Amino acid sequence: MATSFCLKGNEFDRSNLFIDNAYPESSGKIDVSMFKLSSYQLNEKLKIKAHPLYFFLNPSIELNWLHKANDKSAFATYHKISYPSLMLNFVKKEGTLGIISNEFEIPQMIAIGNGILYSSSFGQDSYWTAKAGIEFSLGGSELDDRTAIDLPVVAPRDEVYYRNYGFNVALSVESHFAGKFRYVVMTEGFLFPADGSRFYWENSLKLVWKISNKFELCGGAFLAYGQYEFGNQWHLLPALDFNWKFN
Amino acid sequence: MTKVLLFFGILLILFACEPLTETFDDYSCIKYQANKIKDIPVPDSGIKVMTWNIRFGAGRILWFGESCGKRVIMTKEETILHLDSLAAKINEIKPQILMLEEVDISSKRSAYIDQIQYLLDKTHLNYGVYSSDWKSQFIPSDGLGKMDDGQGILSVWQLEDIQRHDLPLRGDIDALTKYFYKRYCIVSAKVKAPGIDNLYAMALHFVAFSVDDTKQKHVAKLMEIVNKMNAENKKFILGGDFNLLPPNAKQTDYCIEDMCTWESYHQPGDDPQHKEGSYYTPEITWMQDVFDNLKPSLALSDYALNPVKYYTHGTNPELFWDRTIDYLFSNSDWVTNSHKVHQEAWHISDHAPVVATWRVK
Repeated sequence: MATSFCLKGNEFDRSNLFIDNAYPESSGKIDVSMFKLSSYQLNEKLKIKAHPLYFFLNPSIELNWLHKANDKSAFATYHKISYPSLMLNFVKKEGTLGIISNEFEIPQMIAIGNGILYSSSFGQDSYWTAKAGIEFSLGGSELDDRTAIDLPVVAPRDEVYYRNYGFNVALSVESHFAGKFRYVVMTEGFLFPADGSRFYWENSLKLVWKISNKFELCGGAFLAYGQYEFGNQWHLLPALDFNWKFN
Repeated sequence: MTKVLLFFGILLILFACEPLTETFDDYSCIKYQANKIKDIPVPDSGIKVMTWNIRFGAGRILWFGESCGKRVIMTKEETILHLDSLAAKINEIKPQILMLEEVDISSKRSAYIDQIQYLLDKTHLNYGVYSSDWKSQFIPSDGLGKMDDGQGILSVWQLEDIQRHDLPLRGDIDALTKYFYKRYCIVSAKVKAPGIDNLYAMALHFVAFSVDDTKQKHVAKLMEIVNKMNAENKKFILGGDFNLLPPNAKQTDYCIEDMCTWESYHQPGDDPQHKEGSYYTPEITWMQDVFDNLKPSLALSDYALNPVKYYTHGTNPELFWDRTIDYLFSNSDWVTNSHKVHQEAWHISDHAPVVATWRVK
């Protein structure tokens, strides 16, 4: 499942970063990825993020509010709202691709998250972003614990519905690697203190290959740790994505 | 140089990915021990042996897979309730060797409780071994999720030389289903009973729902293992859920008994004509080999005189047991008339425990 890409590349700027960041986007630019949210700069302070494909199945929208920026760094807050009930009901069924058993009811729920983003450059063509936030859910108290999807990537993002609130902290770094390649390193922790507490930790190491000014491919490895209902487990998974830019 | 190393590092770790489903190419059985070791008896003239398909601690809930139900995932409380009933019955009967089938050790459907450890800690038994035959990180069907289900052997005496013997996969299902489906096996272990050399216990669970000759292949594989053990002068006690009727069974078609209210069988135009796992007619001779070459705790002649007394399984919790598919065999003698089916355990599983006393020579 691994993919490594080998093409030549050149410099990139902070408006074209692959990692989540506080910088404003280039005017009129939209990018579409498989797993990242697409972002669009509404005005000089506000950036809106959503997934153009998944939004209709898993509605989630995020606003980034830029508070301070200079040549080197930027500070923003993020504010998001998610509605998971549609997606959970979609995968709740009998037979093949039934991820959640049909014997359960999925209540109407939303999650609201707020946090801070700080991005800065270091060296030449290198950037880092720190992120910290809190998320809490409404309506999740009626959700049966047995609907939990005990898988990496999914579990840390759904845990808030079972435990009412949680915190996350992330650090990511992006820099030029060679030619048309950049590397991206990310680490993110999720802590849910309620009801005995749960902790998840994700790390990834990827290469981003700039195929053209409008298209990038990304491949690498994703290492996840989680405290699941059945115990603690590590997972090593392939990480694949693309980035398609529209101006 | 750093960049080259980074590149190959990424490639290397990507090849370390764990598969979604265990295919048992490189699998080790698990050894267990009770948290507190209880009395270790010295066998006298006989060893009490029991085989029990415990239905993964589901009691008689109407589970979606085999009893026309809608239930899939149990709560922790109800799983423990069922396990406590199982433990109470085991403590009442007090077998010295117990073969278990359909036992979960880390499955979402049974609240991820390790049932082997639970039963060891709640009963007089001290040691256990487990071999999985259905292990998957996540089964994307019916909300099953994580699964680790298989066979176990529990004993008052230590167990060693544990082996998993693979059985052929079902031949009548598509490739995707086959990837996530059960991979049946026989688990064997040497029983270190004081004063008895070379005694092995084996637990098996043959395929339930195949409509081709998979079950016949399972019998053939069993006979291979048996012949090898005989050639090595090993004494063995074999117990399990064979999913096959005695060759002299009068009723061989249970499609109507097992039919769900929305199903139809035997009528013109019905497809399939027979329910999977309920039509034993083409399979009726497949147990003959086992009865001919091994010593059953239940003689076919005894079975013929009163089949109802020896019924071990029923799919409908509203009705009594209606067929025999669980057996005990050995290549050595049983104490005469020691075979008993504990049919009073109706509410604890969809299989009754089968007990017999193996004669120590």
